[in-house]
Amino acid sequence: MAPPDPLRARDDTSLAQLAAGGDRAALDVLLERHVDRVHAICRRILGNREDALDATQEALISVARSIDRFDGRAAFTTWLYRVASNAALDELRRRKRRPTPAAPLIDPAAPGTGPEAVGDRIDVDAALARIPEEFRVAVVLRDLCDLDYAQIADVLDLPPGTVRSRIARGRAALAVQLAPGPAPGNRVEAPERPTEHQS
Amino acid sequence: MNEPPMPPNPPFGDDTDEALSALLDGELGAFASERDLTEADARAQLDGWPGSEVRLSEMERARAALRTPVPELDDLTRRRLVHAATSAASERATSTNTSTDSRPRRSWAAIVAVAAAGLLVVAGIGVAVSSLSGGGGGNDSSSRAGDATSADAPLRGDVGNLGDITSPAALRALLDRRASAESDAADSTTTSQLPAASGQADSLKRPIVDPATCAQALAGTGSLTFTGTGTYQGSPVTIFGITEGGRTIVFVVSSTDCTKVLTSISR
Repeated sequence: MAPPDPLRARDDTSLAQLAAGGDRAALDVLLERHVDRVHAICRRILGNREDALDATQEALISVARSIDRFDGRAAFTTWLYRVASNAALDELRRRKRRPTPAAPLIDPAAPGTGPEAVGDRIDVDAALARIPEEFRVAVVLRDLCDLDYAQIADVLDLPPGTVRSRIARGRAALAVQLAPGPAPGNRVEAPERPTEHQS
Repeated sequence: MNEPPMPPNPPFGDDTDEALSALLDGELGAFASERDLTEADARAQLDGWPGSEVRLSEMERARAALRTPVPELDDLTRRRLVHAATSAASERATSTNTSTDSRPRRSWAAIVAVAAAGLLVVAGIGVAVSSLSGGGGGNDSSSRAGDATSADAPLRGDVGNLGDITSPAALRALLDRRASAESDAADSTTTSQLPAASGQADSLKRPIVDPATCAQALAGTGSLTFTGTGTYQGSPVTIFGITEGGRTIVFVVSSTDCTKVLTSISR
């Protein structure tokens, strides 16, 4: 058996420090470790494979080019998720300027083979696409990335109370979209409250 | 007649969803303290509202939907994403005066198409191999070839012409032989030590991209252990064997343009 790569045993901060010093192998390991999660964030925010891949690429390039700006005070993932979220939101804005398919596509590479699994995939992407993007990002960071409210507040540079409100509204909107019965279309566009808790 | 009693209003009005959502996340404490309540008080008020259970289950369903797995990236796409990022960073470092943005845009449609085609081929290979091995189809020439080559010497360095590797068994045999090589990895070859695949260069067109460059790109942080040539579906190909993180990957690329990955197989 080949000996284990010692770089792979290092933690994110250590790898980031090496990468910032020009160690390309360390950067490779760091990006490979997180590429799936970055893609997952982009996929859930953007709702389709092609845009998600573009945003993932943008995010990874951004990380690679600015790794020397990671100061290690917060967790690397906090910094990474901020970059990934911003890349996805940038892609979302670019997408608004170009024609898009009317309905989300089924991704043949997605896990699950039965009709129920396919239906679930369609529902999640379609439902997420119909909730306001600021709510979508918040619920993705909470429920997909499993960040707590303080971490999300750090990623999005928002007060924790605002994060809590956005998550609640995102889930409420998503619950309407996922409810059994006729497709609700775009009926959920709950405006954000004008006043939010500053905590 | 007595009218049925009106259900009590949600305890926190429009903010009741926020309280329930925070409760789901174990973050009710901050919500309560902003209202000069203890967490237990806030919880008690929620518990006392008849609509609480239904609303909580709706929010839980939304949360569960968000936690369904996102389709995973295949190895090739993952590798290309990382390589493009590190390359872009390297280019920037070496040419800080240029303002050219080298980020690949919309190239993913082509990459994904190639990767998907490769995966379909690999999936077909898997099905075919399993049916061959399970059914004892000894009359199939590709089956015989696979059995024979798996017992051959481990592949390392420039292995020259591997012949036609279109058949599922032939491709799978490369993995088997690579696995044998791993057990004898005391002097394992690295990317920089390998010569470019050139065993059959005379019979091939001149490569558009140097195979050694492609090999380094495909290997990433892994170890390139062999290169070879051959034919795949009648076309000349270059074959790279790479070991990385305990996985073995064989890439089959066009000999005239090694950025075109025709198929890959991994274990």
